[in-house]
Amino acid sequence: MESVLRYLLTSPVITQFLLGDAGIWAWPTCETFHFIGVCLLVGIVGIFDLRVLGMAKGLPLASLKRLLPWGVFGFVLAAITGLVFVEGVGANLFGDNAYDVLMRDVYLQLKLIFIGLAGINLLAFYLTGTSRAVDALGPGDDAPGLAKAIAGTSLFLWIGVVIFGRLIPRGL
Amino acid sequence: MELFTSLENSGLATWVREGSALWAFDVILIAHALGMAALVGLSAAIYLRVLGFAPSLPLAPMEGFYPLMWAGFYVNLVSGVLLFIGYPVRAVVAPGFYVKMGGVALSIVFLRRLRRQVFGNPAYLDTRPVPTNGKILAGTALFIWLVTITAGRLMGYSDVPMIQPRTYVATSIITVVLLVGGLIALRLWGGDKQLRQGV
Repeated sequence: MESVLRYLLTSPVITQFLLGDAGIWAWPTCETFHFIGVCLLVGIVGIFDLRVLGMAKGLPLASLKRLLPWGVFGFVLAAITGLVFVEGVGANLFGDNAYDVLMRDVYLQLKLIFIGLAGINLLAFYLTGTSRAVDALGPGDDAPGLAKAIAGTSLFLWIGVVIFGRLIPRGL
Repeated sequence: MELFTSLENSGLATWVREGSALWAFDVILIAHALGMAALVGLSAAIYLRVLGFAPSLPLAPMEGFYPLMWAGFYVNLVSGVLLFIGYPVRAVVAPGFYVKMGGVALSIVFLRRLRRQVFGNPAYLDTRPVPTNGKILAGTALFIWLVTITAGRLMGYSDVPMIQPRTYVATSIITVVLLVGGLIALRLWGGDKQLRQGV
């Protein structure tokens, strides 16, 4: 198990790339797109969650949903660049291994757990029929209790992801 | 410069950098990241709607998010001033610092203009596409956020000058690729007629 993870978590190609000439710009460029991804994800998902919780009630939720692909795009940007940070960690912390970092860094662990929980929360949103219930909400309508609970959980989890993400260097 | 050196040696500056009360520096950075997400993220959502995405979404109620955006701005003003006090010498000699400050100032001007030009004008507020003027405003504002975030991220590298220009170039190239790729994807698979009409 450990050897499989060690193999999967370390990419010599990415590490070599980051150690080469590209290393000068590649790491900060990935960080920049990581932040852009975070802004899109938290902003778009946040607007949706806040509307379900009762803010800006004039927004019909079925229409608001059409902005969500931009939140997904933000997540994809952050996930891809985040993967580069993990796979290429040996280039930034010379000789360190991503597996060891993952085992050692409590904030990275918490961040990944929170992302996982956000995924389960999203699954609950669709599987419990909340998604369809929410689609029917027009301007001024109040969301059902379960929808509000899921939206509140989502906001809490994503804010937690940002907080733990900023703390990752402390746990290295 | 003497002023900034003495600022950097002050007690408050030392606390920002080394304070142990749950690591002052980390708390300030976390506040700065959350403020950014609120200000940039919420305004990006509004700008995307103005550009024509989710055209069935009424614009008027989105004005309700302005107080939260301003809250994000003030959180970042306070945390930003503290970050500056922590490393004033490094900041004032970094060109990126002035790019970032200019970007933030322009962004605030754009947000206020958006409020006047789009939210203050009934003709812009129904669900039909927003007039071209509004779209130009939204597109420019999103571009300024992109530059500001890049400059902000580069503040962490202000002691390594070579990094700055190359990161701007790399960020620009990737943005152009994503934009062109996105437009092509929209043309090829944009079965969503409502979206195409909106754009």
